[in-house]
Amino acid sequence: MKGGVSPKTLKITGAVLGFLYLIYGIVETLSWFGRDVSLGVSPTGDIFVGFALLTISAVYLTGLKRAAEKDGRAVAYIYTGAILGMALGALALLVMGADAIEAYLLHSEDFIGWSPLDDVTSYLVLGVLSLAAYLPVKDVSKEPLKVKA
Amino acid sequence: MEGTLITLIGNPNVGKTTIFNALTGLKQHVGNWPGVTVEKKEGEFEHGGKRFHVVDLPGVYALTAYSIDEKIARDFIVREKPDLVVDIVDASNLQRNLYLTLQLLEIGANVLVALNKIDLAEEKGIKIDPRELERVLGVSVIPMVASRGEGIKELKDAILKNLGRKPEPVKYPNFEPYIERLIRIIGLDGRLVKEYNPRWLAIKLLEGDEDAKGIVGGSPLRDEIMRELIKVKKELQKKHGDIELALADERYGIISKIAESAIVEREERMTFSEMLDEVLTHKYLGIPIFIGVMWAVFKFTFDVSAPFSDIIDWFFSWLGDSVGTHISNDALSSLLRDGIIAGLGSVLVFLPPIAFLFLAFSWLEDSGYMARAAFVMDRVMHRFGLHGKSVIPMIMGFGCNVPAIMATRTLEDEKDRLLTILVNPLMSCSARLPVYMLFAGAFFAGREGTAITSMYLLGIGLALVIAWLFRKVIFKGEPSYFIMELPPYNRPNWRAIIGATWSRTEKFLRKAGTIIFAGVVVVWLLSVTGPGGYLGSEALENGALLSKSWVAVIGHALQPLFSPMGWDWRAGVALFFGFIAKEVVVGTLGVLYGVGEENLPHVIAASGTFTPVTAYAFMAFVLIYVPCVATIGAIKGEAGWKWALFAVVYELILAYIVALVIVGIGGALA
Repeated sequence: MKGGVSPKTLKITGAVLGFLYLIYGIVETLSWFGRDVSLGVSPTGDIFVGFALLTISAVYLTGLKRAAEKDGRAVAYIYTGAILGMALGALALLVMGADAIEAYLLHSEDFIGWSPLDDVTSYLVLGVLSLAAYLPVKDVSKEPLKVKA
Repeated sequence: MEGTLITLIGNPNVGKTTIFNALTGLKQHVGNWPGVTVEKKEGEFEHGGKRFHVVDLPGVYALTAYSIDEKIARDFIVREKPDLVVDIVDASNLQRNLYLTLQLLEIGANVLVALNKIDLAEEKGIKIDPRELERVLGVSVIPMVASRGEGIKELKDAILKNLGRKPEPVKYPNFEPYIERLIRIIGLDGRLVKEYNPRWLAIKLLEGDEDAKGIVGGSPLRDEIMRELIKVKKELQKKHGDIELALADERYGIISKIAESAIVEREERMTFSEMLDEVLTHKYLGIPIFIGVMWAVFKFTFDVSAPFSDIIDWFFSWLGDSVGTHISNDALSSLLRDGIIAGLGSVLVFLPPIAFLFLAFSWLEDSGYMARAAFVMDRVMHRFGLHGKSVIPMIMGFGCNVPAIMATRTLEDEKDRLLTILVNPLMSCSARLPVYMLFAGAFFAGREGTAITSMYLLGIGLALVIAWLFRKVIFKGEPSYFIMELPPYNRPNWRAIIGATWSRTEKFLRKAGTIIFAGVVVVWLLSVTGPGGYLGSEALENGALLSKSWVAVIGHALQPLFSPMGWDWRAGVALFFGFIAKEVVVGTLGVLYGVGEENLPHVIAASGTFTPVTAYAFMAFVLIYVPCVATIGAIKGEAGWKWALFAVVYELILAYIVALVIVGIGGALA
């Protein structure tokens, strides 16, 4: 396995984030079908949010599976899963910024009473959590790798 | 050609363009190589009091002249005999890149090696000793990281220092006696020796190179050379079998030895690019990630650009009001307010999302992800009868179908090319985006991203199904496979991204100022006039008056066609004028709904002429029906009138069927 990251870290990260993305992916998908389940944040009701979250979940869970098989390439899945998660989180922040311009600068009718909390979505929260997955693996390409034969 | 002639050569994706730009700065111009559509870049720079003329050759892996790029590169070096050939070698792929270096040395070119991407090599765990590489190759080697500007000054110094050198030829121990025998006879023809390197000619003749045979064919010693060649070849074939393969093996043997001495350290590492590729090109995860990325692009395009669109909307509303109150002449005031300002304003509010879409695509291209998208989609494409190379024009179609159709020239097989051209207009270009945004904003508020993404997916899906059908019925046969190299991922170069975004957005602005402008003025004119003459500006606010206009005449003539979909005559008129350019659909609706200060989505939603289902069917119709005039022109140019007409007819029928199906299913579910 990779020099600086222990297999245990990869397994824990893969499992925790993989299942969190899976749960919120299911919640978002259900909300598109009209079944609202709120787990801390309100679902967006967008089927593609559900699809994107389930995809990232699959990336993390593949990393977990590879780590369990002692495959050195497991780290690639945690690393890429974290980057995808953070990218989605960054997108949520950009949307929040655009909405803030509408509400506070342009005073648009559609944004009367808008608060930044309205734009706190599942993929924003999970994107922030993905930072925790990214930090341990961010320098992984600078260190030697032992790949299972 | 003024100054000392130097040329840049290298494998694709070695950073040749970066080095060319760093050397020449803004002193460069782009043209085509004579007789072909391959881009030729030239530039100039001064260093050490000397003036250099730089020619950037196409990216090639070898000089075997099997492809047009290789032929251009080889002919230039052999015929123009540049004073120096800067061979850009990717340090992270040393062995593969050295094949070209050996072939350059065979020609007898004065070679200087720019060993680029040493940072990437180190990231991969490969450490190269440039001095040792210099010693074994017998040419100067300059280590560089061109993307960070490292080594550019040293390269310029080395160019100056290496002028007039003559590197030692590469020796192929198993072939030397045979090469020598041929050189002896070639050497007797003074003209050949003056124009070509006899050693290179001998090697190429051994490889059976047609160009080399042609060169020798013009020599008075042709018969002697050919006789000796036949003898030598017979002896070599007995010893090695296929001579071309044996020579390639010999080169790889030498390359292996060179790499062995030059690479001082090697560790197994996964680079940043390899880690991303492990997942982004994964057999099962690659396509879902691609779909997710596309959704994120449209979410960014729609949601983040919204405040900027609102600012433009506000500006045009203000301008329309100001013009309306300051100009007393009714016709002129109406032309400016209801025609030009309302029409152009309703299109220009889509400038921010279009710019954001181009920004996102430029970023994906620059980062290297687009090549991965092509790679993961290739498997799907092939299954539907499209060639792997079709992927690039298809993805380009998201921007504009015209250059995308022209890009099909890279497909060698005529059937593959025609098939790609015919389905390309189904890839949703940016001109359709304003229509989607208008209707998604009006009828799918809060889920605009989903509605718009579904249009793009519908376009991809239909393109694949139609390709499969055409392959079965019209272009029978199997598409061939293709191989592509995935360049490493890059950190975003914002200057390049902004530049690409601007040049694409500028085209939209130019179109808005010409075709769309003319389109909306014509629509206005046909709206305020009728068989009875000028109706007055009130026609745009008075349904009874508007029904006496020319536009109503056209609309009512078309209405029976569209009534099964539940669209009124205004939708028919918008689609009719959308034939000029798809953006005109929105401009036309803006004029027909008489939208000044009001927001067009709100007005359309409140008008009751569309339901969410009929609006979705309208979006699908706009996606599929006849491509714009420019696209038809491109199809005609690339495939002829027959196929251009065929594209128009099949897309009209397909659009009609799909829209009817949507209305039918939507109606049943509602």
